[in-house]
Amino acid sequence: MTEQAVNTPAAQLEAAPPPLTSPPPLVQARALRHEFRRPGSGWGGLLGAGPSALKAVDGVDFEIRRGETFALVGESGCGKSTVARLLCSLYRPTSGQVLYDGTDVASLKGRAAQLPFRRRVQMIFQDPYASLNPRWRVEDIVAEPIRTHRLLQGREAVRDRVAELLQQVLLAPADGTKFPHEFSGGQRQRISIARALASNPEFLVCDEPTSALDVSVQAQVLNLMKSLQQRLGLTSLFISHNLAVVSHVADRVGVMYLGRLMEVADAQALFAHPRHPYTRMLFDAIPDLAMSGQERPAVIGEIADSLTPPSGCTFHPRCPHANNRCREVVPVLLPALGASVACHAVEEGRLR
Amino acid sequence: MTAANAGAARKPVLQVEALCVELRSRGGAVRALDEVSFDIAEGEVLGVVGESGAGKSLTGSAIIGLLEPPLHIASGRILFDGQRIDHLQREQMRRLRGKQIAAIFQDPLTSLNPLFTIGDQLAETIRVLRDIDAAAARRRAIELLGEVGIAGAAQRLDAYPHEFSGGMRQRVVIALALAGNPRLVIADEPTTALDVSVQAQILQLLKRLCRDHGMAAMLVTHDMGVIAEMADRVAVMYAGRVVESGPVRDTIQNPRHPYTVGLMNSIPVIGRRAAQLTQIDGAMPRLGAVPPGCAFNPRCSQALPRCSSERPTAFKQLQTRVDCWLYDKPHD
Amino acid sequence: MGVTLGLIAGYVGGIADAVIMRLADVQWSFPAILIALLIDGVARNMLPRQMQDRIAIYVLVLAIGVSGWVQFARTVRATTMVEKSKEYVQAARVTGVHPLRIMLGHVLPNTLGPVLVIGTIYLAVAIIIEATLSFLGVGIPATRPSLGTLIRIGSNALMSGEWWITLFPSITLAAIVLSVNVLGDWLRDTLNPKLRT
Repeated sequence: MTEQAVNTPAAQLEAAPPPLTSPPPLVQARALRHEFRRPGSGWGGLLGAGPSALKAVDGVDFEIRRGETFALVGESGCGKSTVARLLCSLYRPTSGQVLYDGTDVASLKGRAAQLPFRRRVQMIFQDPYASLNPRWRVEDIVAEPIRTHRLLQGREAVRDRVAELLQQVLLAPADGTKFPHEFSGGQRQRISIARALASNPEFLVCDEPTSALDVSVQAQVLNLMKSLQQRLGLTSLFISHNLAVVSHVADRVGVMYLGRLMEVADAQALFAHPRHPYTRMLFDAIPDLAMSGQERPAVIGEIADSLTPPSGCTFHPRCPHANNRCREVVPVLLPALGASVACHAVEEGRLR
Repeated sequence: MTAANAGAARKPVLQVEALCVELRSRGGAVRALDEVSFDIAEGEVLGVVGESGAGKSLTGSAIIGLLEPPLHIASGRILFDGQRIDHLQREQMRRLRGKQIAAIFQDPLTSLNPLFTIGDQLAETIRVLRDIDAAAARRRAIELLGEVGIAGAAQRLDAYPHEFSGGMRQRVVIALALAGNPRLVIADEPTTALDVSVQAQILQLLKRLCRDHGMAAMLVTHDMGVIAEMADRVAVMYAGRVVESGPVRDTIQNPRHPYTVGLMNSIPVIGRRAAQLTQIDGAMPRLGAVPPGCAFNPRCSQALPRCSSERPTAFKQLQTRVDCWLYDKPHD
Repeated sequence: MGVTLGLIAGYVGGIADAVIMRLADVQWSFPAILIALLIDGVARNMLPRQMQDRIAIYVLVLAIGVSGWVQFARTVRATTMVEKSKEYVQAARVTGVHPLRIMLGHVLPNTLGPVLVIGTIYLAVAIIIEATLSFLGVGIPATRPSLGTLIRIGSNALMSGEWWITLFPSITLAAIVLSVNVLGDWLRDTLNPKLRT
């Protein structure tokens, strides 16, 4: 490494050992905002008017500590998948920052600067059928990160490593010569996991990795992911709409609604005592497998349109505890009752 | 009055007896459904649960007469209100559909024609089923929309499907299904594409409608939670066969068949955070690769020697029917 | 040329996409033959007599190529945009693979299916265009053989009852077109890994 390269953010990422004092969080999101411009707006379009920007993520703050699994939960349109992609730097945030190991990811300009970051962060996607290139053989798919980052020299070494990775995800080395379509959904997800692990990452972003799988296959994949994570000391962001799955894997949980975080808490605390009205509603809506026959409050309304979100607290039209302040003022995440909750009712003590 | 008597008092709306559906292929015939049998009583909700490839959707399609070649019914009978319907001609089946048997599918987006307003689609369906004029059909459409919980129905009649949210669209689909006042509705994964909160609402709605109209339902899903919410009885399918069926509370809390046990244990439940979820190793066999004897035996931790050669017959355990040699004991 | 432009338009998007597509739209409105005639006419005027005969064939190729790129570009662009949003491309981006490698190694192979089919159709069209131009007298000079020229000569002779001079070249032309299409279909199926097992 040459002298002048030492102080660039990229070099810092590559070289810096973890500090000796209480470790700072590995990943931080600060005031993260992301808007999607609708096609048809701007001078390229000729079609009519309408709101031109979709605020997918509207001011999100959270951090993920090393070795921890942080889950983001929410229904469709809440922005959790967008957050996942922002954290991987697949999109550039409209405003706000993503900090990885203390460095602002957006400040890494140019491919050379970004490469170390890309090695340390990997992603697993939801759709087992679209996440593998149908024309590539499995061994090439899994080897791609190794080759991109030139982690190993020589074809033998790469081939051996690929075999090792396939075995780690409980597939046979011989499966490397096959094509993706020869595998089932659960097996494909395992191939995706092998690919993600190929670059020896520290941080895994998992976007609904088991939502497309059958329950028994899901159990296999979740067990695998959990054991790998523990063995390799990985930090991960787990996105899901399924609270039960999240309860099984997460250390801390964030609940999102229409682009904002409503509640953040330790998993145990959240599942024992959900605080935010939306979190409670989600819990009430989950089918009761225990068949306790308990009467539960009816779910009110539907998720509002992301293009024209409600004013103030985005949840107020569906909240049984909404007052005037809720309609006008956006609540901020504040510590309360063992969690961080963005709710005026909780803040004002109207809700225990 | 014991449950057995209660069952006999209610005449079954649907009876499926040893239904076999085969796929004609160049190499021969492949069994997609293998001697599937169950009943649905009047006003009862039967949940048919299984993973992908188990054949649950296929069963629904066979009943409602929507099997496309090379799939065909090879043997067995389907009786609706005591009358055989599996051998009906297309035209006769079509008349039965809509009026007596209705269907709700998974994707509300493709169930509705995007080019027509929902009012038009509703009215068209209504007029096919009943001989009334356009104005009366429109009134009935408003009535139906109100029943499925769409507020401001009169104004919404002239909206197009894409102007509705997923949950609303599914309500419209349900309204369409209700239009002919059917005796049986076959719902294939009706809430899978919807968010959890919307799912809860739709399930409530379906439950209420079944109760109010005395409608029976066959609810096909992979989600045990949905079954727990909605069904009275449940049939568990595996590799084209029914392996267990019984009252829902019984089957969920006290599963008999090793597959059902494995399935229930692999579902993550809030509050029960174990280090590892129980998993069933291996995968469901594909069509044409079903092992001899019991289809589940290669993956079964309790397999007996006879399981790999003899296909189990049905055994009764109280009100549950299990197809498993483990239950071959003198009982009842 | 069409494939490259389409790939760029689809992958890069934005202004490049808009410009290339507008160009395509403009050219789309001209029939291929007209464009070929135009290029040919320009070439004739620009070049001295002696050269014309020799390079006529290259001018022809250029003319047909320029008139046809739009189809390829359109198709490739559409497929590229679809594939670009698929997760395996996103996975490659997250891994840090160079965008050029993604375009050529990941997206391109998956766009080739439709391209092959169109390619063979267009090969057939190209043959027909060449024949037409020759028929009109502006293609390959009469000193070189061409099916179109034969048909033209034949049509002159029609009046005198020698119909076969037109008929056989026409049948040959049709046969060539048909076999090229079939070849294209076969090629596309063979190259599809999903159908191999």
